[in-house]
Amino acid sequence: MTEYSNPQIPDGINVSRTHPLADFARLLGGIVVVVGVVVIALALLAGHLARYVPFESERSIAERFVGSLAEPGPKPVADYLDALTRRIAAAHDLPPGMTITVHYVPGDTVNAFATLGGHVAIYEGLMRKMPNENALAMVISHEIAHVKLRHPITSMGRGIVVGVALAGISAAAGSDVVGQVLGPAGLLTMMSFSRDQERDADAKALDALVKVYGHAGGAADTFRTLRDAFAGKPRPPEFFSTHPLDVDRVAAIETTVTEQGWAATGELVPYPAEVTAALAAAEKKAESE
Amino acid sequence: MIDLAIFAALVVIGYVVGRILEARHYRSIREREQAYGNIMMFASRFPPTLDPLRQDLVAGSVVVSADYFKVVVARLQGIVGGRLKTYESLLDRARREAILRMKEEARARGARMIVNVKFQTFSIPGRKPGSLVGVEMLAYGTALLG
Repeated sequence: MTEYSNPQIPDGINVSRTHPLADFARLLGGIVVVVGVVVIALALLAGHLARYVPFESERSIAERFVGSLAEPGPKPVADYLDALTRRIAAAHDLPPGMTITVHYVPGDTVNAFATLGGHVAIYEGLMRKMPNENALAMVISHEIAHVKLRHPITSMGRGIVVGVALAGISAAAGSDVVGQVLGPAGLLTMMSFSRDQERDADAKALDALVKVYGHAGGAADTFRTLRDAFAGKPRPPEFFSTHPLDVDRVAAIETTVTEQGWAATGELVPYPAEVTAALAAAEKKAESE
Repeated sequence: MIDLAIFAALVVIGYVVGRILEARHYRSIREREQAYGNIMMFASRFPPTLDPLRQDLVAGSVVVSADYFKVVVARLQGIVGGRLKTYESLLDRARREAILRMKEEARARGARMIVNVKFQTFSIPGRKPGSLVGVEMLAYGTALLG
């Protein structure tokens, strides 16, 4: 007679003993690293190739959206900005065919940026905050350096390529979950790129500033002023910020000036009287409204 | 960024609650497996004795769904392939729970033995193609009453 029995099956035969969190960490880490490497490779490639886009093509892309920037400011300020920009652009030795167009943007915003096609925007709020012409010249010089180094077209090329790549990967993986993990991984990579660009632009900007004024005075003021302008407001940690912290930039400027043997200070040029008056009038007008 | 925060919150909730529920379920499974240990269960088609016995079909079924954490880990695993470890414990629980429910029915009928035990699974598809809401695990067999 056969004996029958039903012994209790011991636990852990059909179930892995690995901790699920360890599993999760390993998978997430591995995938983020792989995606990071792919994104960096693509971004480097795209950035490298974007530099060969002719400046004329860049300008024709810019024409589509630059209309919104073209707002005529008070005449003395616009003329002054134009003349100052021309002087600084000359010191930058721009390649033939590359032109800089400066735009004055009214309002309290403390900002300045360069975009495709050599268009540079300087905000009224920034002009009011800068203590002298040298500090403003450093900002303009910095934005011109971005254009000269082809940063706007490089960023756009990178943005498009990385965006398409991430969309492709998450579509191929067939789930929004994967996209949610991969998106931020790509974003952080992009931000660290633009921080390198800021440092490069600072170095070039300083070089041109010294050519125009014969000394580097005012350059450090620019970032000190910006730091004060944002003082008390919560600022994101450096890793998440597209601009290196101003303390680092002031230090970098001082190092470069010492290394190159430039005069660190010199005569600082104030704004012309009619510009100061126009800025004050604009501020008063904005307040009364 | 808000999407990422919601995603992270769902993963954390899924993990914490899922872990607690899983531990509680396993405790209950082990206790009941002891309690129903005297009802024997075999995969063979024929009863061990040829005594004339009454035969009844008994079945136990359970429907399970994975928590958010398990789904995320499984999706990530799906990119590179390999064992879906987070689903193993889920299906192990479902299988054992289905057996227990089948045994419960057998005991209610006064049976001491179930032969020809089989399992079936049925996937409940989600609204999106290829997605899954849950899985039904069905255990059934012939209870011998005598």
